[in-house]
Amino acid sequence: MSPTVMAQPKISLELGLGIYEPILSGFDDNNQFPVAKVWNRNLLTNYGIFYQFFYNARVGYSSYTSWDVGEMTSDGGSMPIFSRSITYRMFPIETYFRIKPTIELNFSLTPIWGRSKISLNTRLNQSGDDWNIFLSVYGNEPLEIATTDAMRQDWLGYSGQLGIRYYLRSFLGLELKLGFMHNYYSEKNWRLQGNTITGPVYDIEKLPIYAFRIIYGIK
Amino acid sequence: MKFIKNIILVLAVSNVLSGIQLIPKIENPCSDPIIAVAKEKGLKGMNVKETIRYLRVERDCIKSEGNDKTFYLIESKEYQKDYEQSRYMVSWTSTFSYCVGVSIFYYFVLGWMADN
Repeated sequence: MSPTVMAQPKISLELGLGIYEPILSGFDDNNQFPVAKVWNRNLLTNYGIFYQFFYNARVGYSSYTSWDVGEMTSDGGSMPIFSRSITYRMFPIETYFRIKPTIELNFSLTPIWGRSKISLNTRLNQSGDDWNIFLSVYGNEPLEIATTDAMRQDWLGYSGQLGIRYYLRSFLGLELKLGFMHNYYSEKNWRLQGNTITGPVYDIEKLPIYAFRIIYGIK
Repeated sequence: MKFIKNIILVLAVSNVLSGIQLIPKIENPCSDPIIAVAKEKGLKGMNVKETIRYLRVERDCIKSEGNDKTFYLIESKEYQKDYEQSRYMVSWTSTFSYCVGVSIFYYFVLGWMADN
């Protein structure tokens, strides 16, 4: 009797880092924002989950996010904590083949549902008034209360990527990916508390992207 | 200040725990039943708990007997199975891969030529 052995991982998880080079002139042209560095401009954190639905094909969800956080230095303001994220949410279809038992080449095409979010944690007294009125009912002294709100923008795009994966173990692999992203972003339609406002300019229309991932096959 | 206190607390707790053997040592690792499970299900068929135990058994067995043949056979059988199943592209997958290749070529090469 020969033992049965599972083939390719049906479900796999990925964690990784990406590198890209957007021009975020909406922040770089203004010295109130945290200084641009590699970690808050070029680095993307990545996670994803894939399901093998056909012999040589997987479908899944993969998210690349760029983060920025720091204190704003606006004159007359309360020096609020500024945080910004740009998330490229992808729903890839990936085909692959193995050129050696431990080496795989893969090809993915994906639509992108991008979202950027900017939030400010302010310490303006005006924002805290409502809380202070409420608290004074119970005999509290006025407090300096932080308030947080966020503005958001969504957009669509697409991406194509080529990858090479090396399996360290049959369930664990390392992967390098290279590709491009095309985003239809506009700074005109940001949303804040139901209002449509103009946001920062991002030059993210055509971008090459490189990523390194660790893949774990769970089933 | 609270952050520093938390770090000190974590360091103190980990220092105490390091003196306690939380994970018991595996007796007779080379005849552990998890090896039979791995042979039957394959490594990818095991759950995370079984995989962790298998990796510990593998490490301890190789350390005690210096022979990794059993483990090598289990894994190479899986690699071979994967290789046979995905050595060639099936049905529409080759066309799809071709399209991805063309899109990347178009983006990098023709895009670069257009910019210059």
